Amino acid sequence: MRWFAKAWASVLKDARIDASYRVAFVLEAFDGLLMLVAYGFLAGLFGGRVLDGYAPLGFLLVGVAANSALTTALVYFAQAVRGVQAAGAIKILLTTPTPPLEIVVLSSIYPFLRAGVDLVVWLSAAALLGAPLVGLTAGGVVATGVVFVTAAVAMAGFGFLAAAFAIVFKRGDPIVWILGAANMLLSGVLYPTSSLPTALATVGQWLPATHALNAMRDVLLGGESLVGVWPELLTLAAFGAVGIPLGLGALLFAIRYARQEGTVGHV
Amino acid sequence: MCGLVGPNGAGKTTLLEILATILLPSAGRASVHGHDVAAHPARVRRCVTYAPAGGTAFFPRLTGRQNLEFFAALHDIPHREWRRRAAGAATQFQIAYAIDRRYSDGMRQRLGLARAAMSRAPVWLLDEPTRGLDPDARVFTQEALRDSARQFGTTVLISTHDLGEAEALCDQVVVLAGGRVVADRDVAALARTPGGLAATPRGPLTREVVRQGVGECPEGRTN
Repeated sequence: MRWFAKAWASVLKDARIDASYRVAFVLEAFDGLLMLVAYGFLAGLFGGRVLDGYAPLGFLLVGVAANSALTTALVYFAQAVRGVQAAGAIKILLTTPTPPLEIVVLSSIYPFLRAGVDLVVWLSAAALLGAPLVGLTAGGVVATGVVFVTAAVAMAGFGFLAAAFAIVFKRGDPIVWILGAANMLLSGVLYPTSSLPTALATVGQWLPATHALNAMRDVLLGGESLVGVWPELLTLAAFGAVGIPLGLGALLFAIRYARQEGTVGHV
Repeated sequence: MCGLVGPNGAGKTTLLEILATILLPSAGRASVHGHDVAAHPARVRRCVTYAPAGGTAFFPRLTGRQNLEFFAALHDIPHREWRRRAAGAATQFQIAYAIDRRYSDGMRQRLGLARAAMSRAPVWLLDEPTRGLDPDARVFTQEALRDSARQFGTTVLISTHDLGEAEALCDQVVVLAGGRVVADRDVAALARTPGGLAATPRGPLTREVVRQGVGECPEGRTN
């Protein structure tokens, strides 16, 4: 029970901090909606062509919505770690009876919740723009939720790696930046991975976002059930099973390194 | 209560941060309540609470209460007690009237002490706990620290530049220089010496501390 109380306190803290930046909150929402509308117009250029078996409008809007939500999770998580460093609170967090790794896991809850809310908002906007979301049934919504949670777990390892980087190097965020760029280029956000050169398409298969987008499109645009997307879910779970221990290991190393070098409180 | 005194760079904050498990010692051993800080940091964290100097280490976008309640959760305080403990600690350090506001630097300093009090850890590590406080706040903060130490039987280790404060608050004073303990004095014994601590420069660093006039001097003494 005490863990849930801590999780609640952590989510409440992050939500309050997030809500205190009202202008940024409104601008982000506005930016996201503008992007969706722009991709809606872009889809019109494809005419009657299909992308991976789906109408261009649905393909683009689901891809952009899912990728943006997953990126939001990583960016917010990295920001949370940086925020704790900048406020100097990291020193105090490390002196509480709550172990450092547990604090990091607690800190990752709000970013993923926030990303889930973003996904709902963006998919609603996509539906309003005319994306043919045939999977928006009760079963489809559950399946989309399962795909999203599995994708979030698959991405968590990268989040922990980004946090480790922030603790050691303080500035710069290459993990989130590289992953964001690679996702956009190789995971099939804007075009099917089948249109990529073979080598790049192969690299794309090593990105969790590629499998998350495939599964999300199959559920939302193709009306597939969870059984129909199990290979993608299994792949995402494998990413999580390998990535999370690696990410947490890197984080433990980073905390120990910062304690040894006396740089825990540096910003 | 034990005071750590010494000039800037003496190692006061480093020592406190090692005991709080924020830093790893590069050599030697340190233990709190019998737990080695390097080998068993988790056990040490169950015994200590730390308040850094200058009231840093808070989330500036949150109010005092929101900060205290978040840290209450991390200190494993049951959920039903968060509000009561936060309010009690805020009252103790006279910031309850503003608990739902964001804080100035001086108030954050007291908020840091309230956070320490709320944890009820048996060992408090306080880095310059009265730095930046106005004279009134300094007096009642010192009283609140003494009361907490008495009420809960807490061991309090404070660092300070103020010899008068160390003398007034502490039972024991340890003088640091260059990362080494150069003097360790029982304040009760010093009190029997005319002029007290500031007039008793037995070791080279104590002489240096007194010569440099670090901190304030009570009772109009020149230090």
